[in-house]
Amino acid sequence: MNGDLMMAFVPVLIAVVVLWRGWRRVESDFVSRWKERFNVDVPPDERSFVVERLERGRRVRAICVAVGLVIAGLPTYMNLIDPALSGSFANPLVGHAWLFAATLGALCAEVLVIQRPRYRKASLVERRSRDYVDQRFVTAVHALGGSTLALAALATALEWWNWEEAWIGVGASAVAVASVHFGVRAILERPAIAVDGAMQDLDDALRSDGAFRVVGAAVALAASGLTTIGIGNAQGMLAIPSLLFGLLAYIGLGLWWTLARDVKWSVRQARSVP
Amino acid sequence: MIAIELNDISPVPPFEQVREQLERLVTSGAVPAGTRLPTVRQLASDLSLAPNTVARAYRELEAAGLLETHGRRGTIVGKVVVSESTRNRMIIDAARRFHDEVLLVGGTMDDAVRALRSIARGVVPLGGGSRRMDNADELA
Repeated sequence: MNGDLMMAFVPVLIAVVVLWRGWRRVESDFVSRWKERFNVDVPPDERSFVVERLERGRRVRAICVAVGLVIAGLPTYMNLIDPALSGSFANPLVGHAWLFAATLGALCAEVLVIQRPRYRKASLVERRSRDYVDQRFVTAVHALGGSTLALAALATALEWWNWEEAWIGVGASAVAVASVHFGVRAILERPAIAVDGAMQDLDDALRSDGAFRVVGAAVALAASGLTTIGIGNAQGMLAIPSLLFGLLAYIGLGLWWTLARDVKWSVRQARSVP
Repeated sequence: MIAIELNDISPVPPFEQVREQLERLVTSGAVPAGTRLPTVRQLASDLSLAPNTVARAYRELEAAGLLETHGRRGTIVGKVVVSESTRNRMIIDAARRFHDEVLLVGGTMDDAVRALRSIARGVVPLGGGSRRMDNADELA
């Protein structure tokens, strides 16, 4: 019983840690790295604006991930209440709940931004998705979604093992593709703070930061979706692709980390490309 | 940076302001043919307007042959041939804006005409807006 209680406590503990980390203040060195990442200057009188926006985004994402982690722990809570029911909650949908929530959190962090233009002035230059995020990763999300759908259909037709679970992967991919679509749309349609100068760069950097976070989480979710096809039990020739599928989820998680934190993207340079 | 700006105190409705400014930029060649314009939603959100307001301005300019809409490719500036009627309308629009602003600062039509004549003769340099309207007669 004590062991079960400990197991049930772990997801809650991780969720609390995530919330605690999400509520930290954005420090100067974080802002310095952020400036360097997007090749922008943060004027001293705009620093509080940038910090507030970064903190708010971080909090929204942290809340969503924490909720997802608590949901992912459902089988362990059920094990305490009624062990016989625990098994019915142990499925890839519940297991991936934190990743679903992280993707939706990145989306919410962008959709919930309320930004009012400081002047009623608009540039006649169209804001494009490729100004803010590397399009190769947007394509990757779509490709992973398409592959998952095709494999799920194939698994259903051939009655492969766990083919029902493959459709959870399709659901994950659909959420990933929809998050990219609506997230990028919200980012593009958000009113511009300024039409030129340092403020335009800052505004674009905030958009780009959000876009990379949405696309990064979507890549991880779509990659994990593909792994739920259930080819993990494959033997013989199918064992090799099954190994690759297994690796794909980790590659997706690694890409998410890189896209959300480390990748450099000069917003000025991206904007100047015709 | 080519931009359009709304004047909150102008009596000209926002839709007219958007249409006039776009028309001026396109017909003057400041925005060349083939340029892709922002989406209706982008322009509307940047100017704090309803999307329908911007859509109406785009539609009217499209009807005038200044813009072309290509479905998913968006709205593109067309090859501009300014017709006599478009030119006349632009002159009337400019005159209306001028007239409204003169009235707004308490000037009369005579003041406005005198100021225009002075500018046409080059007596008041362009951008010399700081001079008082009642000096226009003396300058002319």
